Amino acid sequence: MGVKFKELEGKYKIIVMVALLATACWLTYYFHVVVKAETIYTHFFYVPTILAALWWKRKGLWVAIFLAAVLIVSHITLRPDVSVVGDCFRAGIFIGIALVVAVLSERMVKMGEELRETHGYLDKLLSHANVPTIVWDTASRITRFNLAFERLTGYTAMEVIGRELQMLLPEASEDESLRKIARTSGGENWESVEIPILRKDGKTCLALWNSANIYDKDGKTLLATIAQGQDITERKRMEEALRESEERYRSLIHNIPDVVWTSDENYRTVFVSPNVERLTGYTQEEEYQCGDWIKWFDRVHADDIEHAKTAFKELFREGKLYDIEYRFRRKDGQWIWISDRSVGTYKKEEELYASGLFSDITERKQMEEDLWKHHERLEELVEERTKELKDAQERLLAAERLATLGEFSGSISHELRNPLSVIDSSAYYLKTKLKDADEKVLEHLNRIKSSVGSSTATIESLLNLTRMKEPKLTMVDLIAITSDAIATSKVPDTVKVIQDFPGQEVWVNADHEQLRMAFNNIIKNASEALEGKGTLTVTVRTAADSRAEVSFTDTGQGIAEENLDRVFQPLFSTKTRGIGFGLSIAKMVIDKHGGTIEAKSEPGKGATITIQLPQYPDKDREVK
Amino acid sequence: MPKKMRILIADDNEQFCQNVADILEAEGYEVALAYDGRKAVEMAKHNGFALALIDVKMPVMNGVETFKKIKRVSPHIPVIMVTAYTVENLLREALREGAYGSLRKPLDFEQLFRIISQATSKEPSILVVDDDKDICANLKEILSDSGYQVCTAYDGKAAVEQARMNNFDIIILDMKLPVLNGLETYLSIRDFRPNLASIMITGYPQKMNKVIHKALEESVYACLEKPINIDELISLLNRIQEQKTNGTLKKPE
Repeated sequence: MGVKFKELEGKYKIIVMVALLATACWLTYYFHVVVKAETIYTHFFYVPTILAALWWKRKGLWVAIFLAAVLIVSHITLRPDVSVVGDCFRAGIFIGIALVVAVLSERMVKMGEELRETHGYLDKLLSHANVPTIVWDTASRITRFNLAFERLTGYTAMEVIGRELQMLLPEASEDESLRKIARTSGGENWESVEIPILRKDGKTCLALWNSANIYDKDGKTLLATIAQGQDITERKRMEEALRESEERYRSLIHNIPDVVWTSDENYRTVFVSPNVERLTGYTQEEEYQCGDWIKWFDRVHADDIEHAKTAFKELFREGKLYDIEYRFRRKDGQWIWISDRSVGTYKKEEELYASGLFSDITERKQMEEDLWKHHERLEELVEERTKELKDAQERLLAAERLATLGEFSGSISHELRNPLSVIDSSAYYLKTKLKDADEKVLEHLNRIKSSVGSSTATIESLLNLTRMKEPKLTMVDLIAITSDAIATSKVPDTVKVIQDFPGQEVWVNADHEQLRMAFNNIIKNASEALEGKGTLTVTVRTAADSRAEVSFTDTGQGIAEENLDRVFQPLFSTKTRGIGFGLSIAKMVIDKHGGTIEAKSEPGKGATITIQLPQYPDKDREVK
Repeated sequence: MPKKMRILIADDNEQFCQNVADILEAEGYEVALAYDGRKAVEMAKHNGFALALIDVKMPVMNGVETFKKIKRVSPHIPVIMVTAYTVENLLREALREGAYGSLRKPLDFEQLFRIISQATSKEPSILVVDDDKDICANLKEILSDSGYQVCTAYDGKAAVEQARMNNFDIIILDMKLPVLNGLETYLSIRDFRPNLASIMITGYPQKMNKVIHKALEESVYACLEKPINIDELISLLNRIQEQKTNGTLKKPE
């Protein structure tokens, strides 16, 4: 449209110019020919000359030159009589004026162009500057809105220019923001003012604003306000995250049972978490005043100081992390166990620091100790049980050995009993037949009979015992059994037997035969140990806990200490003769009677076998 | 001279057999020998023995089997089991089956003679058990006069031994005894002599446990209190004998 207008303008200018020139030409002709005046009214000539110079700048000079030529030519041809000098002068002025106007006009155009260029540059600068910039007028209507702002909000300039600032404010903070905006009208310039902006997509972003007011020439009338913002949404978020993280860290330090510490190379406590008071009784402040860890170590148990110090030194010198436990005296004097763990070292401004945690592990230690005690006790128990098991096994073995022996001797005994009965009956027959034979014969026959009798008795007892028959418990007098045993034991006459019996019966619940057999064995053993000389003392008495006691003390060689436990084992014998199960039979019988048997000896001075049996419960008898 | 009593001896130990035979013959008995059980049974069928001595352990057929067979063919021969071994179960079985008694080897011949004479006697036998020897002696005299064979024992254990050897018709048992008390003695004997008629004597009837009392009442023939009414005792014994011969031993009301 502009171009068309300019073309049109050009055409009209030419038409106007042609008309003006035609008029100038007619005027010249009129004055020279018709009026025949010597001078022509040339003032009119200035109009096309100046117009041309204005319009076409230097090209317009041609119009001045044309008019000058028309004037001079017309003068020479039509009025040669009049001096031409005056018209030449006039022509010269035309050209001169045209030149001046053209030059001036050219310069003015150029200046205008330059001005326009400067304006565009500034405009671009504002538009493209990478800072969201906005300008609003006194009515808070947006007048400028640069590209950075477009990017920030998602709006284009066209969408917002002319509208009120309010559209860019999120509803939540609208009032406060409006108040801030109002303050600018009062002349305030924002400096880092936070105002949230509502984006086109509905999201909010936070910006930090600086503003400046633009005043009219008078310096008082406010024209507009320009504000530059900076999107700090991200920064704000990071700040928030950092704050939260710090909060968490703080809360952690405050709430974990462990005490967190930081120390410098000089063992000075740089930081210690406040819960140190709960653990040590010393407050955080006291710890800082305490100054260094050297003082800390003063409170550590003397036995633990060395390794604690070493660990601490190595931490700084070699960066070797430690995890140690030591005893520590609290402020109230109470000892606690502390577990101290370094977590690392770090350098800050050329200073080396170390951090760590420590906690109270007294309870755990106590439990560990208890556990250890339990463990030890358990081991003891296991050991005990193992020993018991071993003993039981040995007993079992012994019993087995005895059983085998019993079976063996049992079958032999049976086979012996038949021939014995033959011998016995033959002797009996002979005795009846030889009633009148001499004394000697009868004596021999009697001897046969009595030998058969004692053999049978031995076989009988052996059988009963080795078969481990359960004793038939009845109320019997221990003194009677003991006397019976002594009488049937055939102690050599050279051995003195002392009987130390109480005045009244000692009732026991026992099997007379078995007990007598047991005592026989003990007496036999003792008299063998005496080797035909010395004293055997047999004592019966009532012992504590309603038990009856029999003891057999000989004055023989005694039993070596290492054999004391073994004398009751079957087949144990230090003698060259005998099969060595006399005492084990005795023990078996006593065991079955719920009694105890033990051997004591002073080597060289003799031995004592002591037997205790439960007394017969006399009072129960009537009820039974 | 009365006809000699015939005794059967069964034992695989021939020497022992012959010895016993010699001794018994010297005592005036007629003796027959069998060296195994089958032979013994065979002989018992025909020869009318007054008594048999049978060894428990014999080849082919053991003594108890032999006794059972003899009991079938000649139920009236009293049989005495003899053994060298500890064979309690076999002996118990034999006694429960009605063997007259059991003896252990080597034999006590005096005892054997006594048992033979008792076993072959027509008189009923009684065992009197009391720790008071005077009572035993008195009862023995009185009852012997009344036509009973009487044995005595002064304690429970001896009584059990006696009962093993002899098949008594009646036992008179005092409740209070040493070693084994009356009840224990009674139970032990009843274990192998289930049909023995028993009369209990007690000095302290009011003290006796009611339960035991009841149990005894059920199986004991009668309970008498000390001092014993001899007439009552004798009539009681006679009644038992009568009932026994009739085969209906019944408790008095």
